Amino acid sequence: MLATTTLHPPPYELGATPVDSRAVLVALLGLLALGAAAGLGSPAFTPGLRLIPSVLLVELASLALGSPALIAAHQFMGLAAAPEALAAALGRALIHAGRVAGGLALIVLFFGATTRLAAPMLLIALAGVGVFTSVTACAELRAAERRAATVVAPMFSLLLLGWLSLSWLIAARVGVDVAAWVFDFGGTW
Amino acid sequence: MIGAALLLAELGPPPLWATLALGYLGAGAAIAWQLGRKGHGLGTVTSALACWPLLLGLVGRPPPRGDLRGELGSGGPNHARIDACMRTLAEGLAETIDAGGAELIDAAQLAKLGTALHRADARIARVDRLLLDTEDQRALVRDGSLELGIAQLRGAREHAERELEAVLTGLIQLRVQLGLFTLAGESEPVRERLAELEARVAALAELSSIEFAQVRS
Amino acid sequence: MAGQTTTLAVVGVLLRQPEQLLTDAGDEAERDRLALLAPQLLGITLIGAAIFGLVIGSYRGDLQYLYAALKTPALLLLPVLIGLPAIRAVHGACELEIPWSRMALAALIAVARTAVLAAACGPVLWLYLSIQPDYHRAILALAGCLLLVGGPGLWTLIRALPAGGRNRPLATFASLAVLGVLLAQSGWLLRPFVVRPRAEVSFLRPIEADVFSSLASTRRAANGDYRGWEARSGGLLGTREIDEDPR
Repeated sequence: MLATTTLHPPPYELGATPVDSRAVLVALLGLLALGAAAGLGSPAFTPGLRLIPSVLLVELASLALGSPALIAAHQFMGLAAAPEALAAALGRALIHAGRVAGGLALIVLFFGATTRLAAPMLLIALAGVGVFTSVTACAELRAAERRAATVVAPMFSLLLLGWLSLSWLIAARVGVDVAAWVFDFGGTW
Repeated sequence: MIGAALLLAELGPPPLWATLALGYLGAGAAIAWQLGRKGHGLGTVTSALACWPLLLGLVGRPPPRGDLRGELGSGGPNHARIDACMRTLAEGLAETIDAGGAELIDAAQLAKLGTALHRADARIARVDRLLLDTEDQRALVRDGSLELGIAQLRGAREHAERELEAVLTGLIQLRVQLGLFTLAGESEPVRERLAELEARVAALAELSSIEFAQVRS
Repeated sequence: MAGQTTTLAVVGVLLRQPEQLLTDAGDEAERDRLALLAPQLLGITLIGAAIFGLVIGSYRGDLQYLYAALKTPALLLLPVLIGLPAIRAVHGACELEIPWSRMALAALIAVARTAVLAAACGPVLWLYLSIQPDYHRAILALAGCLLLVGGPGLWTLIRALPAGGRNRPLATFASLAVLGVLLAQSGWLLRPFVVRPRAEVSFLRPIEADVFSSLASTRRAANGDYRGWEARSGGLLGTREIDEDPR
């Protein structure tokens, strides 16, 4: 059997890297790329074109609508981390989401080029991006809270759970609206 | 010329898959050309034609120095320690350069030292495997000369390991001296220590050859 | 001779302790390793996979030997070429930033190991195919072999990545899912591999349907439901439409 590689983990420390605007831009491009990959597989022109910003819209809407509620509730509950730290944590989550989306874009493009499964693959990829956004956001927010206070209060975990549920619901709701917009004037897929 | 153009017009645009395939190969050719210009080997350049996405990290970089002979399959007992020491030393060097200091140790020098240490470690590993393989034979064959040979081999192996240990300790001391250089700017101790270590590693290689040759005879 | 010995040494290390081919001496050392090992690992992949392809082609014979030998290396490399950016991104999201050269080296090691193991399974598969089993059994035998050698290969890739990362199991699951799906669709795209003894030999079939609908149709047929299956062309590269009725 393989022995575990005795390798040192790379120096990645949660919250150690500041939010770089270039990284955010690359992340946004990654989200656009995922939509574009599905759009290329669309037989109709208009829905294909509208798919390009669709992933970006869902992701940004979910973060933009859910984050103020998180920060406000966090501060109202008197929890430890500063609003700037929370915002930075969410920024880093967006960066990772964009990278995951960029990586998945190639897979969606492959299926879009060789099958009629571009749309289902896009949905699965979107769910994947959502999962990794949630996971990264939770990890980064916890780290921000831990840096501000030695012990993370149980209320913080409840707050995170509530915010995650809200974000997914918002993402689903916005997703339905975006899907209606994409397919509204383009006929059937 | 006109005939060729008319023929191409008649044939129509190439299929999409052909265009994509040509695009992929074209990108591969561009990467391969870039790698070739930098001096990478024929194998690496040819590999880029088929798998250029995997070799993107090599673009713009010089070719590697040395090879892996003597490093592969060694499983040397000090493999991880040597890598850790070399990495620490490289980090120390980078810090001195960042702090505005001159490059005290050439990167090629460091790489050569690392390779020599791994080779010495690989020799120790080979001897360990040999000693393990002969264990079973010793149980079956009672031979005085075999016992003597094995005892000599063990002695040579222990000596080589002690020397290697001393060099690794010397590397840690060198790292400390680099720190002092960063603070006080004294480069002479660093250069002296490095020269001593290089001489010791060279002697280790020669010593091992002599001692293992004696065992064989 | 030194070059041959080095490649043989690589094969030995690949099978015994593939992690020996990696290094943790920094980014520069990783790039050097990639530059040194990439040609050998690719060569091992091509030869190992080609041997396995020859065995698969033996079921039909004639030109299928050549076609399968040419396509099998692509079957192993395509999922890795397409899926590696996603694998790197999901590991990054799980707090494990891996340099691209390291990822590429780990992937090449995994694929080469799979190819060598596949070549090693070749004689067993050939023996089975030589008794001319039923077409579906031959397909199952091929799938079984690929699972048998693909498992260690996938695991090699996962274990070749650096330690660390908080949500590592999630990243591992996502990576395996990505590679599995891509391998399945690549196999469908590059078909046929196993060709019926009296069927026409062709290098590739038209781009139509997808592996999932094909598997669903096969499962229905196995349950006695011969509803028919529309193998429609799709995607950017799809060509013409075909209706296939297995009856």
